Amino acid sequence: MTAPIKNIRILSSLALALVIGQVFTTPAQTRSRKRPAPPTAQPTSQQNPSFDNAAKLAEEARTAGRLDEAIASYTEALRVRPKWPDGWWYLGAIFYEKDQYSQARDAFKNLVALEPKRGPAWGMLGLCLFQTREYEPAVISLQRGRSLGFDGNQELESVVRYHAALLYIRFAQFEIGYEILREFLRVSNFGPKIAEAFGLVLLRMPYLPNEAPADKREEILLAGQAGISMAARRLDQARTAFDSLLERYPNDPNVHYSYGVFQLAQDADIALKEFQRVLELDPQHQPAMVQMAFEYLKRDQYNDALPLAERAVQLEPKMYPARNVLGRVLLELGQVDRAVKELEEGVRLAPSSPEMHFALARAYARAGRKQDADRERQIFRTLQDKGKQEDDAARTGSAPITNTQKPNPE
Amino acid sequence: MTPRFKRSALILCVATLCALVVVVVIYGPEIVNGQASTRPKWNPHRVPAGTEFIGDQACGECHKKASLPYPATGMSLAMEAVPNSKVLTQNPHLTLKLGSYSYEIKREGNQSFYSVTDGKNTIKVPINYALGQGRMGQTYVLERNGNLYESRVSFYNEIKGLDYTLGSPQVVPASLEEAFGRLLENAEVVKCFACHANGAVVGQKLQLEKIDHGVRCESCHGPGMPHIVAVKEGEPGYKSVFNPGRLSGDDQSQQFCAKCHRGGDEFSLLQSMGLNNVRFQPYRIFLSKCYSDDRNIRCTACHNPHEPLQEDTAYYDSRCLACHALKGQSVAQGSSPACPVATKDCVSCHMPKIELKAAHFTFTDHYIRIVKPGEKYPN
Repeated sequence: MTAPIKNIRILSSLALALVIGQVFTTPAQTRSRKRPAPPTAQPTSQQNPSFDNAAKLAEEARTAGRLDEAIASYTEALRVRPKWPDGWWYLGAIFYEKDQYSQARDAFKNLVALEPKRGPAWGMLGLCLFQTREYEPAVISLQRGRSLGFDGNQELESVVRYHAALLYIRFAQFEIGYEILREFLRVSNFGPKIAEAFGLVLLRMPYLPNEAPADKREEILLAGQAGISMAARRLDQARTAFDSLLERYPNDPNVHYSYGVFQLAQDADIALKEFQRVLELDPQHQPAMVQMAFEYLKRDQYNDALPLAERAVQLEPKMYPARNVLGRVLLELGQVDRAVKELEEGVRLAPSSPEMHFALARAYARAGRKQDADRERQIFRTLQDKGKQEDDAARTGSAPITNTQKPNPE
Repeated sequence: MTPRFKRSALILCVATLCALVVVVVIYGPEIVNGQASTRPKWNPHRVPAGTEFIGDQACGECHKKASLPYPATGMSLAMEAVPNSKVLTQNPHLTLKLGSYSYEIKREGNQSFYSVTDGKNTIKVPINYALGQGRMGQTYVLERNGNLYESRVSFYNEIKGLDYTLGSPQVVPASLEEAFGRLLENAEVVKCFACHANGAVVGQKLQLEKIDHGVRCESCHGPGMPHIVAVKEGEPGYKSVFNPGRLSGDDQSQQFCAKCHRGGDEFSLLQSMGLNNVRFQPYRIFLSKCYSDDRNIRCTACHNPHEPLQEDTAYYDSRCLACHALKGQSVAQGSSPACPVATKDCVSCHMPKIELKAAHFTFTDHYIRIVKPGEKYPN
């Protein structure tokens, strides 16, 4: 195992130890406050002696640290009473502690089936899926845990956030990864792992830290410093970091791209020059084309935006931001029918994206299609209801951010 | 049919067609059937490099009807020059204590100074830019070490005093630097001055020495000199100046006015603001069921930008009734249904007042709707 993945596991284990530590001592703190007390806490006349005995043995073994024995007893108790949420929680946590991630994953799956609103369980399930390399369901579980919350367990929240960011980076959804990593900036002290993840984002490297080429490590860490300063709005520090990065890696298109993104909020003319440089180094760099097209759209330079937007769509037809900018540019150029087609395709690719529905509503209005415009505006309104979005995410297990940003696999 | 009658009919047809063309060109929409017009376009956020402005006075020489009431409007007062600032002269000494930080805004002659101290160290700077007319409040853009900052505290008219600037964290600052204000990125500075003043941002570069405080004629209509020259040369004036009044409903609301008043294009940011987004009317009205590209629902259908805001709710009834039938009347073709409970003061029910405690102000929610009792603020 390489050092970075060990570190991830150490970080995970550290948080897990805290999770389990809390669970071992104060189980109720990690649960939803609305959830009824676990069956073991309220003996009733319906008690099953064999279940009670197994549960008691399991708890004794767990608190004494006899984990194998605890696993056997929890398994027995759950055989008798499979709808025992705390049993699945403890069993999953113990398996995770023993690096038996498949078994841990199955236990947490049972738990979330019983208690779908239990955020920490979704978080732990996501971490298990990460370890078993089932990355797509992992990110869904992690994001669902994040949307439900972790009942104040900041350690678990932090580990889940980190892993969610890593997975988005691995899926090449760097903008989402960046936004998640920015949440770490609320904490004053964070380790080099966060800088490393920021570096992967800035260099647009779709890898987990352990998968990144070894000869890129120095560049990743330097880019990470620039990324942290940029995210924290420490503008002078960010400029200095970018200067170093550009000096040492002048031919890396993604260094220029990141610097261009940074400059969009400072001096858009410099940003455009940087994106132009990106295209000189890598004529297929689609994100640079999209950024330039959006900037030209802002400037009302529609004829400059058009070829870039068209090329961006040609290169990545399933990326909805390219469809968005192309549709909007066409609309401004008076090519309403083409604009509508592009924006409709964008909506098909990203049905949960409010900005796509907003743009399409305006295009329909321009085309005189009032009913269609009304419908799109209604969808936009619905999507804007944040609470509803979160409820949907909790109900379906799919974080809205995933739906909106991921290219349609079709 | 006699040849004479035929000739007369032909002349009449041609004349009618010509008149129609003139009417469409002059009064028609900026975009006709999706085709971009060749008339000048103007984006107040993208003033081209080298643009020169001539000032309101030159415009007022001909356009008296629009220019006479304009100085009293909120847009005209969107920024005050500090030496003449009504807010700062009428409130010469303002103070606030936030945790261990003490704020003071003090008038000294024609200048006002903003200071914050933690008891040991003090940051004190002159106020150079006062944004806002004081109807709701006023926020300050401060210059320090070559950077521009948004003041952490602002003046609010309702309390005649200072409080947290709207949008800043409502917590005691962690350091004196943080207590002073928020460092503004260049893009934010450009936005501030592009909306609150004229001539301060040209070619996306700040030229604060040329600032003309508040929203001026040329902020919305573009540079006036080509228009004056054209008119003096006998050319039609409409060709040489931008008139946002000719934009389609949606273009005006979401593209033009929204440049400053903010529209659905910034949905993500605005949504995250929650109740605070009630201040952004283009965004709110876009959510309305009755919103469309129709000119009857655009900003200028209800508001005359050259005159002060009408506070009387009855004033707006005719705007609603331009589309909605009156109670008891049948719905004419193309009309929207009548309100079943009232015939007047439409906005008092359908555009509720929302109190924004952090702003010490009550805003009219432009999300036109049937408000249900106890409903959660629709975001």
